[in-house]
Amino acid sequence: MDENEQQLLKRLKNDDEVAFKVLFNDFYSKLYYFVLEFIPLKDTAENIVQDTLVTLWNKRNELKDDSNLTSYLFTVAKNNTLKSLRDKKYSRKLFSNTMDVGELDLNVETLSTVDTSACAFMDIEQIIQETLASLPPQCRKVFELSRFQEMKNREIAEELNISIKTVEKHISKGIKTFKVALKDYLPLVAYLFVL
Amino acid sequence: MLFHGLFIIYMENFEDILKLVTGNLSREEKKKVIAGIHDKKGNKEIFKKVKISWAFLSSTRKLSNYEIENAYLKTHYKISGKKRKLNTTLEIVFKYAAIIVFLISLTTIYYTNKQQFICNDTQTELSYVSFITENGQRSKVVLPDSSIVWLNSGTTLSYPSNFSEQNRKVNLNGQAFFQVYHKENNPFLVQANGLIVKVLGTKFDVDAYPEKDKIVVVLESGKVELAHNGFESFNYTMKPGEKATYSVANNALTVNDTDAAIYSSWKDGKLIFRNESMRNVVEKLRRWYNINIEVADEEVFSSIFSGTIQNESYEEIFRYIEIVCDVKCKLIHNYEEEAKPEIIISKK
Repeated sequence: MDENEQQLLKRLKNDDEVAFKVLFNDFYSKLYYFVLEFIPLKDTAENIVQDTLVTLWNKRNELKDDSNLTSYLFTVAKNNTLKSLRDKKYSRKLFSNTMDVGELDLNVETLSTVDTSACAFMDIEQIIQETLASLPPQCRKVFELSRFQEMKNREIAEELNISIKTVEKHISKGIKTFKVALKDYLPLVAYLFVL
Repeated sequence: MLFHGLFIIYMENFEDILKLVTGNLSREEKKKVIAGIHDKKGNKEIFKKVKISWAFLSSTRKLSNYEIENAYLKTHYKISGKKRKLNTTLEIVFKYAAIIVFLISLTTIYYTNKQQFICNDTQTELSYVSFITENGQRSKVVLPDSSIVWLNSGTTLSYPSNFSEQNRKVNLNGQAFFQVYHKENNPFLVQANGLIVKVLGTKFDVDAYPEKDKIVVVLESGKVELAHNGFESFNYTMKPGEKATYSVANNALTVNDTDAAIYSSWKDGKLIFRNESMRNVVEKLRRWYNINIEVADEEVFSSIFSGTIQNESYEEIFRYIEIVCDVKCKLIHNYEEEAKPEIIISKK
């Protein structure tokens, strides 16, 4: 585990609010965008992630000195998200917005199978950065526009002055490249990827 | 080669699923692809894997510092704002001496009609006007400043005789729903067992039965500020839809979000229970109907009850509880002068 993270965890257990804030800043975005993929309601996703971090604070003394915080936080966030997805109040809200029953069911089923144990998270961020860097320039550009900036394929095509088909090819290539890269490093990626 | 063959078969579906997951399909196209996923088992596996990968990849996105700070403030509030532990080493200073005097000397009671009693206490310098409802009764009172107060069973509401538009303070023992008119420099204050609810023009419910340790304030609309006459630093401003529970013994305040209408439904002659513990249900029914309720087996208390009571008699309600909670309710009519009917609840 990250040495820095270990320090922060120790301080957190000593009720250090600054350590909590640092961890908050580190993890908030990650958890938020992850949850948002399964519940595309910004307010709901915000609440879920905030509650997750509140849990971290409230249960800080139950954490072991060598706990993997990424795993812990993603696990709590996953459980909170599933709870909301299964709550009739939220599903009604989702249906009126963007989802239909079929998609909701798929999201619940998919999220339930997500492995948030410690080993799944080792070095994933670093691998993602390295893999991104290894993509051919236009492929990387397209991939980033799609992932980071929420642009639709059509918009990306306009922005870069290429065809939509080309955009789709690049994204597809990007995902497949990641698939290969992660396959080598993560023991559980066989679980995450096709073929 | 076999892999390559499989790869080609999956190709088409993969592209569609990828588009679905990355948000690049129209609503109709989405429906088609989702149906296709449910149809073929292999497709579902592909979906799951693409979805999970995409979700982890998306998690590397960053929110702006502003958004994160904002979220932090909300989180901090959720942690510290919700559970306020008042400093118990503070000396208790009674701000309103007049109140103690009032509490000590409550005397004559007159029956005016079935719903309302008026009491005049003249032993102190300030005389108090009180409205009292017995168990089984509810009433509605209009105060001199035109604010309306509904009193639930077993409640006493009182105010000093110098109550006016400029000086609006009432005392509550029991449960009442308030509809107060906002007057800019003249706040309306409700005092209940030390807790002070300062009203800024609004509708809210205060549940402060003396024998209970907790005082519950539910805000339907408007804004109220909670304070304590013994602790200067204690201050909390409630928002609509919030339920604040103040524990007298611990001097602690807990705030939750809630459906405000459930708590004040009694003023419309309705009692709404939503997943309430039997313990609370029994207590509320005791007051609502003014009957004795004995629970013979502790196990009964672990039942949960949901239901709405409007014009049902208690016999009907307990028949219903028998079925829903799987218990036995024995009804004993007491026909003597002062006696109340009694219900004994036991496990089946």
